[in-house]
Amino acid sequence: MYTPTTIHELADIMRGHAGPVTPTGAGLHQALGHAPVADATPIDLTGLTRVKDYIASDLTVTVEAGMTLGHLQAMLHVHRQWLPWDAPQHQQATIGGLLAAGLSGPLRHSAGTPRDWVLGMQFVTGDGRIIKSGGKVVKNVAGYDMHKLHIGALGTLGIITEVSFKVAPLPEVDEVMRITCAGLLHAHNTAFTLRAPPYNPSALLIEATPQHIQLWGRWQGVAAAVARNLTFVRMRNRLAQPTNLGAWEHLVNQPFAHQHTQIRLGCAPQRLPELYPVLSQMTDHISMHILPTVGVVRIFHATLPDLAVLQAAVVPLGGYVVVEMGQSATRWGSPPANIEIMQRIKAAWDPNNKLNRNRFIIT
Amino acid sequence: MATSLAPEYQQLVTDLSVAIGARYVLWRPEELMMYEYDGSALDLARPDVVVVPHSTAEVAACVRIAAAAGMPIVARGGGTGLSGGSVPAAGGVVISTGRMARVLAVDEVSRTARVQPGLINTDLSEHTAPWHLHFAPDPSSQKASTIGGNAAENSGGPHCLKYGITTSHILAATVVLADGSIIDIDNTAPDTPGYDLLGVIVGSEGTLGIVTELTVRLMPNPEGVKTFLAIFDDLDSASDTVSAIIAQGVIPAALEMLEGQGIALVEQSVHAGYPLDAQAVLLIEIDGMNEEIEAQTARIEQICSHFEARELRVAKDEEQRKKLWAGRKGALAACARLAPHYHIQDGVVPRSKLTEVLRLTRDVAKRQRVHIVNIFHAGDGNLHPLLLFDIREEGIIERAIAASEEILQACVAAGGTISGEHGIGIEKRDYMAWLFNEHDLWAMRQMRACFDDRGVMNPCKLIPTGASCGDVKAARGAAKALAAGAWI
Repeated sequence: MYTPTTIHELADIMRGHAGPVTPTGAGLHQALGHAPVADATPIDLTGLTRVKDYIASDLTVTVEAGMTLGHLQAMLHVHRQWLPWDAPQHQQATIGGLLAAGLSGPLRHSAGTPRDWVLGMQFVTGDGRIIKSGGKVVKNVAGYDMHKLHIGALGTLGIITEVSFKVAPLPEVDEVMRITCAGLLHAHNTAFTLRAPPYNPSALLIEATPQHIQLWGRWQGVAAAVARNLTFVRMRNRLAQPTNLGAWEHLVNQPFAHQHTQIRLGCAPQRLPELYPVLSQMTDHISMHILPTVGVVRIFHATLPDLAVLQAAVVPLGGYVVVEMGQSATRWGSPPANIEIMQRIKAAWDPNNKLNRNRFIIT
Repeated sequence: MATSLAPEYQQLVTDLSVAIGARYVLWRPEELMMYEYDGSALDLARPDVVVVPHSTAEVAACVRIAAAAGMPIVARGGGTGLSGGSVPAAGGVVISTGRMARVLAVDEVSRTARVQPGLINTDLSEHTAPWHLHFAPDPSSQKASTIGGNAAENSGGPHCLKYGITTSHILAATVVLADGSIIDIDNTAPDTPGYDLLGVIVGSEGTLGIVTELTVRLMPNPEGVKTFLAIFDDLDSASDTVSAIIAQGVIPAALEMLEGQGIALVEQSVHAGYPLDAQAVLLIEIDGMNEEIEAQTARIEQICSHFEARELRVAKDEEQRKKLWAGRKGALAACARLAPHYHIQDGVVPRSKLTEVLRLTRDVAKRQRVHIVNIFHAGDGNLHPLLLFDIREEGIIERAIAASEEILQACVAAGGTISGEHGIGIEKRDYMAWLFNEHDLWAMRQMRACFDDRGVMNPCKLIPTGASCGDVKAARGAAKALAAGAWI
């Protein structure tokens, strides 16, 4: 195991070590992807935690990627700022790890994903070069946005070492409601009524368990505007109940929290209703989270459900099935479109295939 | 075939004519002249042939034919770019998207539209108005620039302060690669496993391929909009106001500044009601739910009064609002009254450094004896120093370029960048080394080669390439003098 404490140390390691390596952050999402090859050496990146630049009045920050997102948020909160990024385990997970895993949460409904907040990045290639992409200011079109390639690449194109973000002012109020629904389609349609302009929820999530189907919503911003949103929610849904942020946090952290299997489905949000007949047959014994306006479904269960059934339902919609946790030979599903270009980029930046060999769909 | 067509191009023109029809293949010198410059007019290069295909398949056919003939290929939308992106620096075949300008589909549920790349930016929002949806990126060129060009340059615009630049609004693209193959890059299913190729295609300035269809994100129209004009007697107070608005966590939809001579010039041209004697004005727009507007209004009034704005006016109705914006969006043309030639710069600084860098631009203007007017996206820290001069004056081009470079270097030194939205193109290619070292540029070149290993697509742009583009660079000085003389 390597434990670099500076980026140059890491670059030296990558130049000197000939075999495969597995970069790790807090280690919370290591279940993602196939198992590392047997001779892979872990590189623990939690020693890279420096704040490189934070000028609160610019609403931009640059930190080393081994810092936890929780630590960054605490730092921002002091100045009444935050990153609207609620990935699973966002308190304990490292920024680099969450970016590599491509994880985000229900806030993406309104705030987008880290792709929209990352201004620039530094990364170390498989052969130990330190590369910069993007910058530290909120607008910048100098050069290719190479940093976007690393988001969701599972560390296979380079090790993310430093990240610049734009950040947001903290909302004045932050409210959560949940509404008990009769079924998935009912919950889905309710979600879409709640986002009819001018109403503007920050997040919408359908929680389906064998016990109940509930639509959760979160509203943030100016107090009077949130109040009008909530009045509308109550008017349209008698079963709407206010709930607390603690319950919401618990919900957001459910993915990757337990040692059962976990599957992610994705498709364009307007195609989701076509999936509900299949998903509804599962909800009497399986739990799931659906982001109805985004098009992501996460299924949690003690054992792996029938992947073939899910694939047959979602692939014709232009979607995909990924086994995020659990044993499966086909964790990533079919090869993505344009895999040849992706493989060429991988070969260019990691010529000896050292980075997370065999773990991702591009290996 | 006319006698003026050089023999080495006869086969190429014949093949292209067979592929898309002879009337859409332009090769006569008087036809080509229209395609030798863009909005910057600093760089000038004539294509050998221009084609105007009308479908993805026709674009692919043109690319195959041109590439087989060893020709560089350059895509062109509205030709409004400001960094030479669509100027065929090394000659070759220009592919105009002028006949690919349709909205193919609008999806109200996912709030997306499928469009062709030649669609004019404002035409999209007009098309989606019945659904109360709009395309957020709004470059000042939006009445003439195309969605394809916006995607290639990763364009900005005033409202990107709140809604983000073009890259956040593109969800999928069909792309013709240098070998004529057609690929679909689709992010409409979120988090699809694989690398985010769309993330590098957008903003790649036509160097990776030609986008022939796009899926774009649409935003719901806000419930309310409120537009202010804040008037200041000195520049520092205005820029301190900008920094304070951002620092206090108010993110307006747009926050624009005009300063110095520009105000009077704009007023005389547009009659937007800007006071002739003001040193700086801020155009501040907020939008959202009515309650949000009310809360932000109070904060903005308080900050403007703290920094001693002479006056804070509010647009009373849509007509007044449009007038205020007409002043901003028509500013470039208005400034032509001061001098016959201009060059618009594009640099970004951290918002806390605005006052400092604006002061520097005034010093530079004095020292280099060039008029400089700043009309820019203040909320983003995105400066647009507008250099105004008369080409007939001895040594003025050299002084204008020196002034530009000095300002951009100051942006870099302040922690900023050399382009916020106009792109690198030819204009700033050699400045890339101010920001990126050899390793960074190596990674960019490697990545580019993964899409186009022979450098067919828009060569000599974006990345300093060394030897092969040396002669293009040498030709550039001559082109500049020529362009400036032929212009406005």
